[in-house]
Amino acid sequence: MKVRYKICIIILFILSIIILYTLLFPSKQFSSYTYETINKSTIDEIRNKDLVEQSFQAEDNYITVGLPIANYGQIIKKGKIIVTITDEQGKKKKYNIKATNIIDNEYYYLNYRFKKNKNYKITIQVKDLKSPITFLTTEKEIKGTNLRVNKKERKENIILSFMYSKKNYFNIWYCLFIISILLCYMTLIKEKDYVKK
Amino acid sequence: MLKNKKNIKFIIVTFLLAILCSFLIEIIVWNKSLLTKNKTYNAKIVELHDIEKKEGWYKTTTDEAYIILEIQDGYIDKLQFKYKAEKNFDWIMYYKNNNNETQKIIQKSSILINEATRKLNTKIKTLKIEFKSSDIKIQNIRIKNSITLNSSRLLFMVILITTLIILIKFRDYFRKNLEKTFLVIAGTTGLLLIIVSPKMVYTAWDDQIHLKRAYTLFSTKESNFSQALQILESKIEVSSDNFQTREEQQTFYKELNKIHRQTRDYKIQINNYSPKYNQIVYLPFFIGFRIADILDLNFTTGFILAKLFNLICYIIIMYYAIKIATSLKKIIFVIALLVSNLFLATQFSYDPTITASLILALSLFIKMLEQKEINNKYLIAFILAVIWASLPKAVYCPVLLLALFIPNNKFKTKKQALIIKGLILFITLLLVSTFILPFFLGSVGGDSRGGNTNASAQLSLILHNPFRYCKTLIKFFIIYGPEQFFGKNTLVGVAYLYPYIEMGIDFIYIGSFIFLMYASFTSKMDKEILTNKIKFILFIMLVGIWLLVVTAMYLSFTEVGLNTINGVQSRYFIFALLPILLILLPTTNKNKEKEKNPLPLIFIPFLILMFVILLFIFKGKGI
Repeated sequence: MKVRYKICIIILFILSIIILYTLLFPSKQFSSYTYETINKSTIDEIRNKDLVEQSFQAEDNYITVGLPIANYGQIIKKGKIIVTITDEQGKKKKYNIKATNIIDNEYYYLNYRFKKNKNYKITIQVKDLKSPITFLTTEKEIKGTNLRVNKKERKENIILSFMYSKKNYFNIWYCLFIISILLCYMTLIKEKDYVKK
Repeated sequence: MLKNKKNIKFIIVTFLLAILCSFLIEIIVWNKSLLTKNKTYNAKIVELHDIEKKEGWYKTTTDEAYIILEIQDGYIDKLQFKYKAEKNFDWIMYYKNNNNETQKIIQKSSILINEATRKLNTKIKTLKIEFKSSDIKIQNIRIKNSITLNSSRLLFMVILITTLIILIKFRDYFRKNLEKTFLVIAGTTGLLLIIVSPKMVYTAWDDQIHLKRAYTLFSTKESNFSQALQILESKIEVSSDNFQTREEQQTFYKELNKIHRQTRDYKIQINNYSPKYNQIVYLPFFIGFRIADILDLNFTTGFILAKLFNLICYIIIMYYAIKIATSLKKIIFVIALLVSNLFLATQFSYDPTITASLILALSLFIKMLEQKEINNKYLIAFILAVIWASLPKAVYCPVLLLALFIPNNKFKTKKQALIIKGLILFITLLLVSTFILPFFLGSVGGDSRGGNTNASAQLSLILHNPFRYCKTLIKFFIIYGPEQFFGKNTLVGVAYLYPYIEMGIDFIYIGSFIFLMYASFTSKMDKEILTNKIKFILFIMLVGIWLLVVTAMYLSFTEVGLNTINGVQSRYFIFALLPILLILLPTTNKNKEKEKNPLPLIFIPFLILMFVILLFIFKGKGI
């Protein structure tokens, strides 16, 4: 029993080190912010030669943007989705997404560093797709957003999802958890009486 | 029982005899009409309409094209033909039955396979097949009147005969060792359920979500996810209407395996940076999938293995819950073998392991009350069981607070008792914090499956108008409460496979309910253990859990402003059967005589489960 007790003490010591390390040098945690959904719907079927333009203002320093793509439950074997993000200065970044990599009604994330309160435009086109795709939309009014499909303005907006990084202290929660269970165990196995009954 | 060589020989001989009997029954009963007609031959085409013949294929040119076939011998068991199409298509079979009435059977075929096989098993002279799309190519139209052995039926017969004979032969042993009885029944019927269930998702609630999470368990940014898995997620492609016979299902599975091998390196984005504590329950599934990958097994085999590991996890936890219990043995045994529990344990669902953990925790709690001094292992096991159940769903953490009501004199010292109870309270608070941690981590908004949901707006509604929320709660409990605790979905819930057992559902439900009551009210609960205080504490715990569950659903799954609560499901309360029965059961003075378990106890749950499986086999299309 002394050996078990000593092992528990060692583990407690290690966990304490981890807690201290996490407090001093927290890792990065990615969190998401998604536009509020009101009257969720989709835009029209997007086929080759269609053009989708979604403008928005970044509300924070986001590091990725997610597009909610739907493919009508079809398995797409070929084709690509070309996404271009343009900033206020006109600087463009292009992404080619393989259509085989998209899952129906799921977000597809693109790495891009957005700056708070700056305006951006996402342009989407598709190429070589045999079956159409679409994007999920919300009717929530969001500052700085504007959606156009084939140059025609729409009242809804694509439900964009953004990720941002923040300090991650979650390891402390895990450590406290394990420490509590260990202390329970140590209290149960301790032979020495504290007080007379 | 297994230490005796004679017994082992008996079991082996029984098994072999069961195989022989099953084959004979399969041939004599299910294939008797084909014994004299055993052949497959090309169908004779007597008329073509809007169909052109090109390069060995018959091609439909309109959406009203049809073919008329003449049936030799006047009998057709199955119709088969190969096809090529750009998209899924509908077609219709017309024929005249014995009463000269025209029968019309609408069919669907999927482009995922290239051969249709449909069962008719009827005496007819001509058959008209109408295709509802153009550009469909057909060839090799055949009448299949050959003997086919249905492996699901065979396995069912083998397991039914073997298990029944073993239960009868060793009935006294099984009556005394209910946990071993549970092992045998759950193991055999669970395995059978896994094999006869479609190897698809959309069979149990949210299983397509659980499949994806289980497969990509430890991935954060991206994960391998073959097109076979994407096909399973795509409900339109793999509706069971598309594969109506075993031949079509087997072809579909072969195609899935081929697609998985060809596309296993496909990657999809996961972007799942939320803490993994609530996904630890997927570990059994994940282990099954990884073993299949390491051994380079087929995709469908990996699918079965993943479900098998979940079943094993459920069986192990429930086994110990029954083994540890004394006066609760019968009740836990019957709850563990409820159709809903066993069905969900064989699907992509983590609810059964949560239910099993909570029942184990309650069994341990009652056991600790029965002991003069608590066993350390029981207390640690109690804590771990509740944690396992609470990590994915923190709503169950109030069960941990039961330990605060263990009398202090059951610990070594009072100080020890206070320290332990303090730590348990702290662990409970940590578990409760998982409710609010997502808000700080910025990963909660609402579950859009519920429509226009907004957790913050709902919370604001509760805080500003608590009386309105109370009214909603009371109304919800009055309308839905009894059904959620004792309804069909609690005892006999088979999710989306409900149509398969619809014809027998009332019989199965009433049988399960009566038997549960019988097992409960013939259990003798000690007055000194199950005091009114303990019953009251159990009642408060249940109320607390119910409130947490419905409030969680109100916040995240109910549209803002509704006067009801969406998303509350009976499977969240299956474990509650045990504390409810403990509260309702009459108690007696401690009975020193060991009660003898009644014989029906070991047979009825088994027979109910086998009846359900029988319905799956016969009513389920393509199983």
